[in-house]
Amino acid sequence: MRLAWIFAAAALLAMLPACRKNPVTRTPAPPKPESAVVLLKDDNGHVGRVRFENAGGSVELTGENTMTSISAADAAPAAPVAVSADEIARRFGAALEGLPAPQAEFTLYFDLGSDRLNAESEALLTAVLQAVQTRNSTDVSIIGHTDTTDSPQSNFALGLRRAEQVADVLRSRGLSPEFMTVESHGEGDLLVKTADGVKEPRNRRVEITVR
Amino acid sequence: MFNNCRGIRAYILVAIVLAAGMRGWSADETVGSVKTLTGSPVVVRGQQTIPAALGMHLFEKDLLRTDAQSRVGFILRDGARVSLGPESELAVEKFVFEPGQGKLELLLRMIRGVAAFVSGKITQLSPASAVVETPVGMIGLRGTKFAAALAAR
Repeated sequence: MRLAWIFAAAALLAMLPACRKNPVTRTPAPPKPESAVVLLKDDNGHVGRVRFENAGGSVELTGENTMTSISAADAAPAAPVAVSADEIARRFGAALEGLPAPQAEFTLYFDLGSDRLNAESEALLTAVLQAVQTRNSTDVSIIGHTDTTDSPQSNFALGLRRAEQVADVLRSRGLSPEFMTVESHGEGDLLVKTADGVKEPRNRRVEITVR
Repeated sequence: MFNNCRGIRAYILVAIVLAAGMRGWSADETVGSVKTLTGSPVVVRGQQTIPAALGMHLFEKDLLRTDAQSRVGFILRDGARVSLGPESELAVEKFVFEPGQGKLELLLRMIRGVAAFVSGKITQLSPASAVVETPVGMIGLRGTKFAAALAAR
């Protein structure tokens, strides 16, 4: 038996020069697909940062279209390599195509101590309703804020009145209450940081987020 | 602690009312909503498997799943956006977005397939608090747009 193997091996060896002259190209088995993470440029042209970490080590992606490959949970992620747009489309395109539009954000301002919408804010609500339409939104957040005049308790109440006032108008203009979340952050989430008891028009606001 | 279901229900109701009272009315536990869809993706919520629909609200622990012909995209309340390609699975394990209280946490668990991500306010305000967990390791979100593909097991 062993002899047969030796003969076979010798026969193969004898064929080698012929092979070299006329090589039979055998396609190598395709590499086992690995998991991968790729960093991309966002809609604003900004490239952020992503860190990948597992039991084998960690790697940070910082460049546009750089990718790390990972073979296993206990194997270190590969050093980042730049990949082509075609490669990105091939591997990640199916997911990238389905990314929803970003949320739309609006800010309405109020007079000192008031929960009344001014003409400017009324006009802005038209844009809010348009954003709801184009996004088919079912999730609109309305958050009322105040400046630091008055007490935190009454500011919470004032912030809520402001937000409810906005919600009432949106409701009267056809937005379903089911799609709205109304909250107050009172004086707890100042746009412009101030000491207590400071009149600051930019803090007297209602923020509307349309998702 | 409770000798019947009604007791538990009453307790939960009281807790919800208290929580709602603290945050203003109509504060619910929605974490996001479905925004894009192809084919017939599903949402696994507890023991239920529900067909995903445009505009459908999502909650913590919801798992989204697509088959070979399906895709689904959703937006979270911090503005983060996620989309899944075919034969993919991802769960919103944890979502806490209370910037006023400094409470921020996002944990997505990607189980298989391919997904694209654009980070939101949680990542912006507290980069250390946003993570995508995968079977081969953790993706720490420092912003903003990236994609991941998991090898078929």
